[in-house]
Amino acid sequence: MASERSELLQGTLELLILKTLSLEPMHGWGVAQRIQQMSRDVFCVNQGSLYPALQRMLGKGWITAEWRTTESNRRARYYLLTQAGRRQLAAERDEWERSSSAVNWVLDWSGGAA
Amino acid sequence: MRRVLSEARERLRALLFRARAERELDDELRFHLQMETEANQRRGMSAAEAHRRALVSFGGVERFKDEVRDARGFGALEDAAADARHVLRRAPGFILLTTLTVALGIGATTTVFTLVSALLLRPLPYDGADRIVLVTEAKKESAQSSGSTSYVAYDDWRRAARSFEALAVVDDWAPALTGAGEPERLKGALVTAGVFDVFRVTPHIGRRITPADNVEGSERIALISHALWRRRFGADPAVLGRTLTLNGFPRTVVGVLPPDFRGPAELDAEIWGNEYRDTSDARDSRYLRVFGRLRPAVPLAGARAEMRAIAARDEAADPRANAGYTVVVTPLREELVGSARTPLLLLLGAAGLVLLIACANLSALFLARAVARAREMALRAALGAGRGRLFRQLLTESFVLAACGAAAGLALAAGATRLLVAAGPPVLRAAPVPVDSRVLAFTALLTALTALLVGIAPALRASRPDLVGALKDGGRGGSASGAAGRARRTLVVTQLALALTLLAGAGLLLKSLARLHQVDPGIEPAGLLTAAVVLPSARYSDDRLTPFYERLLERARAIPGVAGVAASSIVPFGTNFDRIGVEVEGRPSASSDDLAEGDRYIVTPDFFAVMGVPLRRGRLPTARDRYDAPLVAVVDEQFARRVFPGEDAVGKRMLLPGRDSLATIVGVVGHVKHYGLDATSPGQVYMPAAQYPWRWMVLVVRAAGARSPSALVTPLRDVVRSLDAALLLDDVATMEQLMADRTAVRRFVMALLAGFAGVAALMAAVGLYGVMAYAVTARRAEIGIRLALGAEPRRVLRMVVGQGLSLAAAGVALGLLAAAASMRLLRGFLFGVSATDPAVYALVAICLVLVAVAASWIPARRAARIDPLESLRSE
Repeated sequence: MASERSELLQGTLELLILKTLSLEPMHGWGVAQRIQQMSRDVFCVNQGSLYPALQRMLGKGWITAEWRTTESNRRARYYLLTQAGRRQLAAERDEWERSSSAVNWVLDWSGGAA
Repeated sequence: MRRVLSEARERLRALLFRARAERELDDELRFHLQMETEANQRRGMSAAEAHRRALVSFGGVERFKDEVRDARGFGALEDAAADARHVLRRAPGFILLTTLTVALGIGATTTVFTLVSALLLRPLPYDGADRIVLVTEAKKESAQSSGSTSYVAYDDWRRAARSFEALAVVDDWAPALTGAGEPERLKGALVTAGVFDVFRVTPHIGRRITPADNVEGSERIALISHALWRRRFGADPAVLGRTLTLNGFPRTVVGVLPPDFRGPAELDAEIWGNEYRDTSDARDSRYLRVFGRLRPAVPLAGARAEMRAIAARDEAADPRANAGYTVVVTPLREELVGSARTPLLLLLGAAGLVLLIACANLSALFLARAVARAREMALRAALGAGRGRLFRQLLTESFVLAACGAAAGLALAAGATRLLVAAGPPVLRAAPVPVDSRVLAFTALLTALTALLVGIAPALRASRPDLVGALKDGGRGGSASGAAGRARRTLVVTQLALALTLLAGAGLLLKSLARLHQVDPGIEPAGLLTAAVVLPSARYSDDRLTPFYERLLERARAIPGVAGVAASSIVPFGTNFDRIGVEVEGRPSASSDDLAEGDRYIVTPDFFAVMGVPLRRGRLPTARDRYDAPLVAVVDEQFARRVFPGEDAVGKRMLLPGRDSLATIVGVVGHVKHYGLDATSPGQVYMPAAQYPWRWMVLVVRAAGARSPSALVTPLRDVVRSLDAALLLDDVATMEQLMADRTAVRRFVMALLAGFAGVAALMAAVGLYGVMAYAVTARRAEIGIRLALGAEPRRVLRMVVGQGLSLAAAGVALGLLAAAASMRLLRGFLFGVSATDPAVYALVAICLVLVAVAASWIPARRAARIDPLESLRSE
C-alpha cells in the first residue's frame, strides 16, 4: 500500500500546508491527515518533514501558532494562516499552475520530428 | 528586508525562550504520537504495535527534533554546540561569553565615539559656532595660541581688521559678592559689548552691554546668569536696577542671561561685568582674551593672513613692545577641546582593536560550527537547497548575535560615558556629551560591520561547500587540520598580536606615569593645603596689605594641627602663573625680548620652609627684609643657570616690576616644577611680600604629622572670618590634588588604554582556549591511541600546551612588530621612556605567554585524561 503513495515534491509541502490551513486552523497531525485525505491518499506526508516545514513557515510569518483544546479535550498546537500566508498561497498557487501546465505540455508534446 | 527582520525576530525569540520552545516541541510531539497511535488502533493494531508504528512513521524522534530546531534558526548554533560538546563543554555559556565580548567591544568603541562626537564633531551650542574664533598674540617660535592680548592691540584690531563681524575682550574676574547675605566668590568675566554679537546672546530680561558701557568712566554694570538669578534672587525681575557690592565696589544689575546659555571657558560665568579701559594700557601688557566672529564670506585662512599682516605692521611700528610676536586665529572648538583630539582619536583606535578582537572570537565560533555542519550543508546543497538561502541563514544568525551584543554594549556605553565625563579630565566637560542620533547611527553601523565581518567568511564557506570532500570526510567534524582550523589559528594569532599591541601601549604609559612620579617636584607636596585670600582694593589700601597678611599668618599658625604656614602670590601646579621680564643690572635691553624671563613668586619668609624648597647658596629672605630695607630677591637654580651662566648669581642686581630700585639676589634655592612634572619652566624669581606688597595671596598651610590637610579648611576659614567677615577663602585645594589635576589627561588615557588592553588579553585568552579545546577534541582518537600505546599523560599535556605556546609565540612576535610600528603614535604621551622600551615589551610579552599557558592548560589537562577505550569507541 505504501508503495503506491508518492513522496511529496520538494517545495510542494508548504503549498499544501498553506492550502489546508486556509480552510481552517489545524494542529500538525490534522494537517498531515487532511493532506492525505484531500490527495485521496496519494500523498503521504512524512511526519518528520511536516514539523520543520511548519517551523520554517512560522519564521517567515506565513502562519502563527497557538495552543488550543481539541474536541477530545486535549491540548494541541494549532496553526493559523496569516494575511502574509494568504498572499503566499495565492502566489504559490499561480506558480504551481504555471509550472505544472508547463510540465504537462512537455509530457504531451508529440514532437514535430516524430 | 522585512522578511529578514521577521526571521531574525522569530529566531531571537526561539533563542531567548529556548527552554519553553523545547517544552512546546515535546508537547506537540506527544500529542502527535497519541493521535497517530489512536488512529493505528482504530485500524485494528494492538496498543504496543500502534505506538511502535507511530514512532516509526517519524523516522526517529531525535532526528525530528533536530530538524525542527534547525528550522527554528538557532538549531544550527545549538547543533554546533552539541556537535562540539567536548570542545566547548557548555556551549551556551560560550555563546554568551562571545556575545559578551562583542558587547564589550561595541561598548568600548561607542563610549569613546560618544566623547569624540560630542567634543570633536557636534556643533558647539552657539548660533553659527563654527565662525567663532579666538584671536590672540603669540610668540612666533611657539605659534601656538598662548591666550593673552593687550587692550591696546584689541583696540587696534577692532578698528583695522576687516575679517570680523564682531570682536570682544574677555577679562578674568572673580568678584566677591558681599553685603546681601552670605559673602560668596562668583565666577565672573569682564566683557566688552562685542561678546553679545560674537556668541549671539540676547538677555533673558533687561539689556545687554553696549559699546557706550566700555569707555573710560562708564557706570559699573553687570548681567547675571540665569542660575545665579534663581539661586540668589529668587528669579525676581526686580533684580534689574539693584546694586550689588562686588569686590567692595557697587555695580548695577542691568540684565539676566538666557537660561540655556553656557559660555565657553572663562565666559562660563555667573556674572558678566562691563570692561572699561582706556588705551593708555601698555602695549605689551598682555592679559586679555579676544573672541571674534568671522564675517560670513571670510575663510579662516583669510582672517589669519590679515592678522599676520597687522602683526607685521605692529612689529615694524613698535619693535620694543611687539618684536617676536604674531597674531594667531584659532577656531573656538580647537581652543576648547583641541587638547583632547589626539588622546580621543588614539583611544578610539584602541577601542576599535578591542572590537576587532571580539569579532575574531565570534568568527571563530561560527567557523567551528561551519565545520561541524559541513556535511549537513553539503547534503542540503546536493539536494538543491539554494546557496543564497544557506548564506542568508548564516548571516542572519551573526546579525542577531551582533545586535544582542550591540544592545548590551550601548547600555554599557551610556553608563561608562557618564562616569568618564564625571571623573575624567576637565576637557571632557567643555561641551555637553549626549548619546545622540549620531552615536546611535555609529553603533548601528558598527553592529552591521561586526555582523558582516563575523558572518561572511563562514557563510561563504558554508554556502560553497566542497561536496565530495565533506561527504567523504564522513562528517566527523574533525577536520581541524583543514582550512577552517587554519583560519581559526590565524584568528587567534591575530588576536594575540592585537592584544600585545594594546598591552605594550598601556605598559609604556604606565611606565611614563611611574617615571613622572619619580621626578622631583622641587617641593614636598604631602600635607600641604592651599587657599587664596584676596583683599579687595576698595577696602584695603596698599599699605594695609602686609600688616593684614602678617596677622592672618600669625593666627593661622596657632591653629592646632598646623605645622607651618606662609603666603605666596602663586603656587606651583595650579592653573595660575606669573611670567615677568627682569632687567639685569649692566645689560642693556632694547626690547622686551632682551629681558630675562622668570616666574614671579611674591612670598613671605616662611614659604621655603613650609613648601620644602631647599636653599642651595646664600640666604633666604627674613622678617628683617622690610619695605624700606634694601630690596632683596632669591632665584632658583634654573633661573641662575640660565641668566647667569658660569657666574655666581648671588650678589647680582636686577630691576623687578613694582619697585624702582634694584634688588640684590641674596640666595639661590632649588628649582620648582611650576608647570607640572613633565613641563619645563624658565625658573623662579622670589620677592619678599613685605617689599613687593600683593593683594591676591595664596596661603600654603602644612599639616602637622600625618594629618589630612583638608581638616584644616574649616579652622582656616574661621580665622579669616575673625579678621574680616566679608573676606572669602578661595580655590581651596591640597597640593596633591593640584598635582593630580596636572596629570589628569595622562592618567585618563592610561586608565582607558589599560582597561582596553586587559579586556583584549582576556578575549585573546578565550579565543586561544577555544582553538586548543577544539584541537584536543578533534584529535581525541589520536590522543587515545597514543595513550593506549603507553604515552605518558604528562607528555600529552606538554604536547598540547606546547601547541598553545607556539600559537602564542607567533602572536607575540607579530604583536611586537605591530607595537614597534604603531607606538610612535603614543610619543606625545610618553615621558622618560622610549616608544620601543625593551623592558616594557619583554614584560607584556611574558604576560601574554603566561595567559596563553593558562588558556591551554585546561584543554591540555582534558587531553591527558582521555580514556583510550572510550575515545576509540566514539569513533
